[in-house]
Amino acid sequence: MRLLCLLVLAASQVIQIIEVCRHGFRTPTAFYPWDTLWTNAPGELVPVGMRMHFLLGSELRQRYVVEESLLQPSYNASTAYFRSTDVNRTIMSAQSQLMGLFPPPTGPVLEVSLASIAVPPIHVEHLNDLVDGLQSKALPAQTQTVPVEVYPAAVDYELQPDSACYLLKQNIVALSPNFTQVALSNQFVYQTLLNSGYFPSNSTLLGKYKNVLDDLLINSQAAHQLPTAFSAPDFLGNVSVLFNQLFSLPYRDPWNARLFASAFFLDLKSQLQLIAGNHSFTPFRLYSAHDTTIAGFLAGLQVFDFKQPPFASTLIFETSRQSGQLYMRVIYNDQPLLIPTCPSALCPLQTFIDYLNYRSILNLSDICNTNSSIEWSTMEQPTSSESLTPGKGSTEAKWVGWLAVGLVCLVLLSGAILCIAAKQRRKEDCLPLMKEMDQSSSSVGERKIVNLAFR
Amino acid sequence: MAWLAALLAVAAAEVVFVLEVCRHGSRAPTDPTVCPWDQDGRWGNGWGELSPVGMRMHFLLGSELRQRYVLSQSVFDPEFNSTQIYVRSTDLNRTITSAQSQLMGLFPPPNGPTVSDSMGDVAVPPISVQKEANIVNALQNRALPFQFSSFPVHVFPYMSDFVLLPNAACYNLLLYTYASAEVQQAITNISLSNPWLLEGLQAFIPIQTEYIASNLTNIVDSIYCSQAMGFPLPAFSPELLNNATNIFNQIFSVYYQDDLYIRYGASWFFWDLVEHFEAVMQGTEPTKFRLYSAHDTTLAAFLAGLQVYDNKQPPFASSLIFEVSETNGDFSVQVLYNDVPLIIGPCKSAQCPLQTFTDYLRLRAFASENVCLPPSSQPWNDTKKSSSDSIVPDSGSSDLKWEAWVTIALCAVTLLLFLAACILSRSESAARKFESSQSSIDERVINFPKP
Repeated sequence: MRLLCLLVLAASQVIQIIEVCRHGFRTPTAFYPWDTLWTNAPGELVPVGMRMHFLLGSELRQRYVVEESLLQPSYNASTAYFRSTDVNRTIMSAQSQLMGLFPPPTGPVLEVSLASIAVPPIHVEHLNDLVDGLQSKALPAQTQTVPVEVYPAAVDYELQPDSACYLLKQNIVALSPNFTQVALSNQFVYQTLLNSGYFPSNSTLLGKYKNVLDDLLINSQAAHQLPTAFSAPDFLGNVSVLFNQLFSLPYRDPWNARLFASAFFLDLKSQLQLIAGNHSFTPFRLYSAHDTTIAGFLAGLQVFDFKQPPFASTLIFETSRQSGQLYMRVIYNDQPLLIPTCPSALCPLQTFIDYLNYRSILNLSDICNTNSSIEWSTMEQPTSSESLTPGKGSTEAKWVGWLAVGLVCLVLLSGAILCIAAKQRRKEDCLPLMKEMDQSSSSVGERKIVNLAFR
Repeated sequence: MAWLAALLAVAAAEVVFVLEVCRHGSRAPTDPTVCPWDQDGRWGNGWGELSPVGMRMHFLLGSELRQRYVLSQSVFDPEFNSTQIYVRSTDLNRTITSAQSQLMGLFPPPNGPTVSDSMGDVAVPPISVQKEANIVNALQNRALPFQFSSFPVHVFPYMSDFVLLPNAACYNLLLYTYASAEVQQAITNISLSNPWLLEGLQAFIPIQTEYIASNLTNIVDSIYCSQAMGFPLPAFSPELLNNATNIFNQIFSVYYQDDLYIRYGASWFFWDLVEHFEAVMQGTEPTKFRLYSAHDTTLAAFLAGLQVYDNKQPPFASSLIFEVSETNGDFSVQVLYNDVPLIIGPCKSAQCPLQTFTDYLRLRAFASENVCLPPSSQPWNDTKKSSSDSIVPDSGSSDLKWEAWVTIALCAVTLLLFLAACILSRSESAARKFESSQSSIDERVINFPKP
């Protein structure tokens, strides 16, 4: 039996990796009086965080380059896509991880004879020393530069839905009474903080409660000495439990979970459909984001454990081929997840695609920013709207829709006016024209329907 | 004596803020070309990608800027400091990797961060790393190999990059670029007026001269790209190459003769500059060095906006540097284009009072940013609002209203057309008139530009 398993595993081949990761260790996003030891600004990636991602990238290289040969040992722009939220720490995390995935010296080289061409059009003072030091390496240590694409938060429905989706933002604000209730449920932590003397009033404290707890936990991870007010035994243990309760609050609502995950799921679905449909696809895709992003996706898959994803967490969607069949494995920090509707952690790809579809809101950007009613998909009827992307696509469709409506109206209206006018003169001339007009207006009408279907 | 005073004044001048706009380094041709020599797979799949030579160019550019602004002048820290440095790029691989390469020159290894011994156990990801001990031993206390730094390069999607890619973000400019019959005619005329060049190229590219004429920029660009990589090329005569370069520059600079086009191309950048220069003067600017990684078209528009454009395509890894100095509380700016100091508009010398320069920038930008109203709603608008009072910020909330207005306007126009047709039809054959107006309507439906 065990041998059989091994054989099956041996025959499987990974063909695509889509990775969502959280940035590495960062400084607290706001500093309090005891935050005196940080050398970086608030919310920035610290060296420890870079190291985390470098090691993560090294391990992914071991698994997917060395063992699986999913990627070539050197970076190739056509086989990989990298994307990050528009925050320094996530962009730098992606860069650090990619330095592990394509470590020096796998970067490009150039012929030594080109050294005189490979110079910028300005005077470089120590040119000879620099060029001698580089020899044939394009960059020092033959390192590799990689492009990481970034979307501003206001349009990043996929990775920062809590910034891009107005409705989700509102929903989270509306949770503040529940939030306070949970915060006050642990009086030990609350009283300790209140009595520490660092917060002038209880409303100031409650206003940034989660942030303060996060700050304390990060300081303890960094082995920073905390003020004696926080030295009670078990205080940090309580903080940790309470923080996770507060952190996970928005994801307990199934509606919010869908708002968090839909844009990414639709992107993921379209990527997986490329594989299922035998089209060309990118073997490696990296999305560098936040704890909230990963929590939202896990909640969207209905497998969230209600704990904050630690620094440098990874959620990997691994598509493999086994004896001609395509499978999906979802792996969260090395743990294969059992996704609902899947028979095991190894899920037939189509089952997974159908599930993604079922879990997504198709007209997300309308839902997020207007009072539109929701378009649900069903398991039986997967939508054909491949091009549905949140943001610009649907608004363009809306615009065309308006135009089409306008044109149809005016063609009909003008036709009517014309015919009334013409009727008074020559009734018989008008009839064939009416027919013609019917045809033209109905073709415009069809277009309108098609466009509206994309909304 | 005056000479000594001048020397002292120069000595007291201190560079306090640097903003650089650069073009990416040498790259592959952006699209498949018509040139037979490109068919040998020399570019792999990487159309438009930065070449190793291009990376090197930017690394050296960064090294030189480090020499000037870190080692000689101490404008910013020798190690990357996220509060002092801001880097943005257009949304293309070649500009992002150019920025990364230049940053590697600005903050070369081993200037990256280190991890203290006690934090070694924390600095691991939450997955099992098979060769962790080996990797960590090799790193010692370095966060990344060779003590590299990692750098955040911020990117704006085409549709919102008004500062660096207005020719993609500004709908009106896009229309203007591709629909201006005058400009298109001028370009065609330039190509067709050089039969000698077209026939010369035809000897190496066996296609019709009309086709060569319409692909001339594509062909010349391909030659540049191969030259920069040392790839073999046919034996063009030096006269032919010179001629090709001249014609290429004429075509490239056609757009930058038109003041309206230039303002479209440079206004958002000028507003951005004004914002930062004013913050520098008020002492509220947090950054010391800003790098904007972009394209030849970006640089040409900015130079033309400053009325100092030489009508030549900016070469790979070109840099336009705005260097702000402070002397006893007085701010001045020097503009350097590929090391050449430029004398701008009202400035009497290459060292220009910052206030004079800022006023000039305002003069050269549009008065309002409503000129680009896009056809579809854009929920975001990343361009910084100018501080000028005359500029009414685009509300952005009236998208729907706008669409409705267009619809109504179209209705009205077409209704008028029909009414006119009807009135005409009274005097002549109604059927014939109606048919003609009907066909014009069909055209409208078909030709309406896709938003």
